Amino acid sequence: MEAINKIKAHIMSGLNDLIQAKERGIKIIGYLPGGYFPEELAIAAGAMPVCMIRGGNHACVEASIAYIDRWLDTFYRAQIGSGVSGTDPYYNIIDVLIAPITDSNNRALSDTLDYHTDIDIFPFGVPHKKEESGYLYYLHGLKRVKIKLEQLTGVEITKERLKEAILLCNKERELLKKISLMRKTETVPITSKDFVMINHAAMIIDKKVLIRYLESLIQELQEADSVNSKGPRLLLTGSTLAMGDGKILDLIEEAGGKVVIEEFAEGIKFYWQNVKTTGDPIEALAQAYFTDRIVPAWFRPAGERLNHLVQLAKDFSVDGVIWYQLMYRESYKIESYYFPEILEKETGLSMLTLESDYDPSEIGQMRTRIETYLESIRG
Amino acid sequence: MTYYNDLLKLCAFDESEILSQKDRLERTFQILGLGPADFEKAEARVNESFDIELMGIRKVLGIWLKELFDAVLAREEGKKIIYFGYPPFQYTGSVIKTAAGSKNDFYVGCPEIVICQTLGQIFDKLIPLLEAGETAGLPPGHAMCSLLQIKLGAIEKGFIPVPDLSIATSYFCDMGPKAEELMQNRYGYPVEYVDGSLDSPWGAWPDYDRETVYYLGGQVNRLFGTLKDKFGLEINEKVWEKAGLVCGKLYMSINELGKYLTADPVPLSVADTELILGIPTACTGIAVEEGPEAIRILAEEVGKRVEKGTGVVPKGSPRVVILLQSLSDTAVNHLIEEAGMAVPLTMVMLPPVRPPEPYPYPTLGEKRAEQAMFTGAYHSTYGWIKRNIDSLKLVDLDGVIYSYPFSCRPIVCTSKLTKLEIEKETGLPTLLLELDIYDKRNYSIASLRTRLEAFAEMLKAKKAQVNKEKAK
Repeated sequence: MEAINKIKAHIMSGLNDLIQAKERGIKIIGYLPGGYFPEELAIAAGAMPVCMIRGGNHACVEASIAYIDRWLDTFYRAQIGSGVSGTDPYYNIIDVLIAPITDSNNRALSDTLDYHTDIDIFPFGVPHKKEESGYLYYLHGLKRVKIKLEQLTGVEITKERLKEAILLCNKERELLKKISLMRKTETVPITSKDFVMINHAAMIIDKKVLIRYLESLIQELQEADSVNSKGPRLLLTGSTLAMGDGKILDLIEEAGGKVVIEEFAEGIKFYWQNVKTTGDPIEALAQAYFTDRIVPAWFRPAGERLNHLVQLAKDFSVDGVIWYQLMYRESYKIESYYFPEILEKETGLSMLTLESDYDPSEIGQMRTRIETYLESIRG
Repeated sequence: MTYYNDLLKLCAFDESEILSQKDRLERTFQILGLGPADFEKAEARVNESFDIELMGIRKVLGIWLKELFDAVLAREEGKKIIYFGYPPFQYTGSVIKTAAGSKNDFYVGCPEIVICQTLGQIFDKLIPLLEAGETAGLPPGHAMCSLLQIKLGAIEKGFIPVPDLSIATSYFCDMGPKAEELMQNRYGYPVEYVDGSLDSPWGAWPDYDRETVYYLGGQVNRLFGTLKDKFGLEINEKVWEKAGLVCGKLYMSINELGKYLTADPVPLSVADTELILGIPTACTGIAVEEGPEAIRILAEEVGKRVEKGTGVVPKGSPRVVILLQSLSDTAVNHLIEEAGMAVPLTMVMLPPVRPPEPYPYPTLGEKRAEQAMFTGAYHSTYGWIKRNIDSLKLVDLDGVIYSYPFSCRPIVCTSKLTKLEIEKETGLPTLLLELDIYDKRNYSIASLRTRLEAFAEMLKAKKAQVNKEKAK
């Protein structure tokens, strides 16, 4: 598909675009994944947001050993390895790293980068419960981020500018949702690999450009045949699906499975709902990014997220669920223990849990487990 | 004579106490599945592991056993049961217990620590509990907190009752509340989550954003509300002050003991001091009542050793501070001294630095939240490290052993930065000693010994060089 190829090409040249933008005096705002930094704030400040979402490289995990213990989430260890060693060029061009602090794992990244590099780190806390005080604390954090970005860029983030940025990001969310929903039917016009790729693109390339491509893509998809009409339909969920961590999707595809919906805290955007365009825009952002979105596993209670997964499984008529998590992300590990019972009760479906440390030696075992799981689904 | 008499007497129980408590003791041992062979083994273990020449140590061991009886029998004895997570937020447990007044119808505590001290240190029977916890939802091989596995395993096996309320604190530790949620789903008990936000930027200590205190304070105030609504317990400034006085007796006795521990040679093994330091953080009942007297007796005995110049390692040995001792395996605690190092202090015994002037927050929760911020642990990684460094500067030491459980995320995510900062700021050589203070299956004593011996050799050589230069 032409639009897919264009987005891929744009991802490849994304770094150059950022470098050129930086040369033109535009500030580059790095942020940690997890969906708690509203890109709208950076866009409204006239800056370019870029998510630190690259992962999947075991060499980066190994490089982290000098700076952090191994008993932390793989993705964050990989970030520490690439960020401190300077091997990830994105870390070298950002003007600030906005770090919504969600758990010990990403706090470790924020602290370790702050200690070992010259990167300007701006942490702000994300409470773990959806309640009024949590909302207010998150809102306070967004207000602090706003001030920081205004100081950095010299641009006042007015209500008008913010509203304009919200409209732009809403458009992106709507298009992502529209594409995602196309997979509810029996004919699935886009592979999960491509859908995940455009999600990653939405975290690193210019929104106006991406929106043009997504609009073209929707037209192409409406006329396309199913990319893979056979094979069990799957829900893929977990903690982090990083750009570069394509192993799991490759293995599922090779085994004849078809992922038709994904749900990840880090690596897949929450595109199900738009930010309101009425009222105070920063409050609207807090409402959408904290209160309205589905919670990740480090939140309590877990019910909302697990019910959402059950609903996705039903809505997308899946035949099975693959839970893909990274090593030592304890909140996901704990939920993976009791979710299969809920899933079985609500949908009659089984679940396969896989874990990765980005180690190439995992592939053989993972392949066998996926093949066996898909065989069991096929009966 | 019963099969448990000898052990209990070794742990300073007197005959009349054993007789009057007979039914309770036997019921506890029945629930825990402890039989004659376990007691025989435990007696040998206590003789080998602890300084039972000292009556104070025997009494403290007895106090832990009494805490075990109270924890195990709490439901059968009709008590309302409130558990709090470890480490607790300030000394909330004691405050709740104080609010309950003279009524003895509440069990408030951290039973997993009590279990470590007794079924672990005395009976060496933690593994079945760890395995039960692993099977019930906190699996092995994923660096799950073994203390939480013990708690889950103990509830699963019916060793401790399902509580009426559990208090879990987040942000310092994410895993505790998530494991509590698992237990909440599994056993149906209510959990009050007290969350904070460890988002102060690097270098900000002791400054902080007041919103952080308002948020944490609000959570604490809500806990107070729950305690009032659910149990009729009123927590206010007066109660907090009273609880401070009750705990104060315990801390005063520990401070008294601490003065002797800094002598050269160090008069008491770190394996024995461990028994003392767990009391204020885990217990609110009999240990708080009987603890001060037991520790006073111990301080007196240790004082006599100091007068005589008796120590557990030779005079002039390198002096190190350690972060945490094992709460389940005395062999680990003895290793440091066997390698030729003296441990006059642990991190929690370091002299406190003067906190900044408090801000006049209007509510009790906020006031306590600010005090929690000043401990560093609720402030940031930097705050935690910096506070420890400021305290380390007040003490005469040769090195630091940062001994920590590998499955404790908040410590794991700060360990390497801690080493770098301590060495940079104080010049003290710092050994990162990764182990598991609750689960002895997770390390090899031999490899720990090798690392400690190498570190001790380095400290001895360094100390000899310094002494040589001083002599010139």
